Amino acid sequence: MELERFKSTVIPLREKLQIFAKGILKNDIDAEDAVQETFLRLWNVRSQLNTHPNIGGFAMQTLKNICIDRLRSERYDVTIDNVAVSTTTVTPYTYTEQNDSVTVIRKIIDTLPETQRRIMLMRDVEGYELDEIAEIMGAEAATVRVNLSRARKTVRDKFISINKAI
Amino acid sequence: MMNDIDKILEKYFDGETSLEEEKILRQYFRQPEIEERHKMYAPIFNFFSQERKEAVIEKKKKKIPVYAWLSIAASILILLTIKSVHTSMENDAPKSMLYIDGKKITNMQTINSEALISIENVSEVDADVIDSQIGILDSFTE
Repeated sequence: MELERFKSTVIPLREKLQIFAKGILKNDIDAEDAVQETFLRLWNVRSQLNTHPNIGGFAMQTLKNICIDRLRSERYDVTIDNVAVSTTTVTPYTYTEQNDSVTVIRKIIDTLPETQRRIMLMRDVEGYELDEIAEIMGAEAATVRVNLSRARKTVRDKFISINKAI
Repeated sequence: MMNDIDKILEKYFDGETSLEEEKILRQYFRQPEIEERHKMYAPIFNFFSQERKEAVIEKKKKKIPVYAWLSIAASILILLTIKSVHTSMENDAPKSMLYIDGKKITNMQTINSEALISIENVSEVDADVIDSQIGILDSFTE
């Protein structure tokens, strides 16, 4: 039901969004990623979309924000990466302080790239089929699987390395 | 069994497990007899078990928005209106009454026969009146 409505109101915006994203990001693959992320964000607020007077405008604004974020992180690529590592690594000290693997796992998931994080939560918490997620994102099931696999492996590797550090 | 878990775990991290297989993993990590080599994964699967439980509770608690309450109230109002109109019609429909010499009559059969008699009286009177009026007209034209 929900998916059908989403497919009829949001997915048709795809082409327009793709052109817009390409205009900003100057690259088909990045534009595609940004559009997929837009769809995931819109799905997350789908209950509000039903009463939104201008879904097209809202989608465009969401996409614009995502594109701007990407351009910013590109510009500071190197430094952002370094910062990300230092702030997201949970030290043994903070770990024993929290002494709570739930908090650690939540933190790790929070640091995942947005598309990976949203896909992981849709699958491992909300229990969606990969095909459904693919439809919502307007992507191939294979793309969803790759993102999901990366997210799961990152969570596993980071969690295990933190545990070993203690 | 253990072999199975190893296989499913590998598939899980490749994003290739079915929902059913993922359920098997969560159940395996919830019970106390976990193989030593799997123990490091337990917190991850238990984290998701917990999150799923909370997601379900969240769904159930989902607030009913104002417009839903309004439409519920409106529907009840409509139903009540229909009901009251309906009952008032039901009460009125069979209730005819007639007063003869100050006496109230509600028996339908009596009312019907009385009504017929009075209609006949009226038509008789009318015939007389019309005849006399035609007579007057004739007198003018003659």
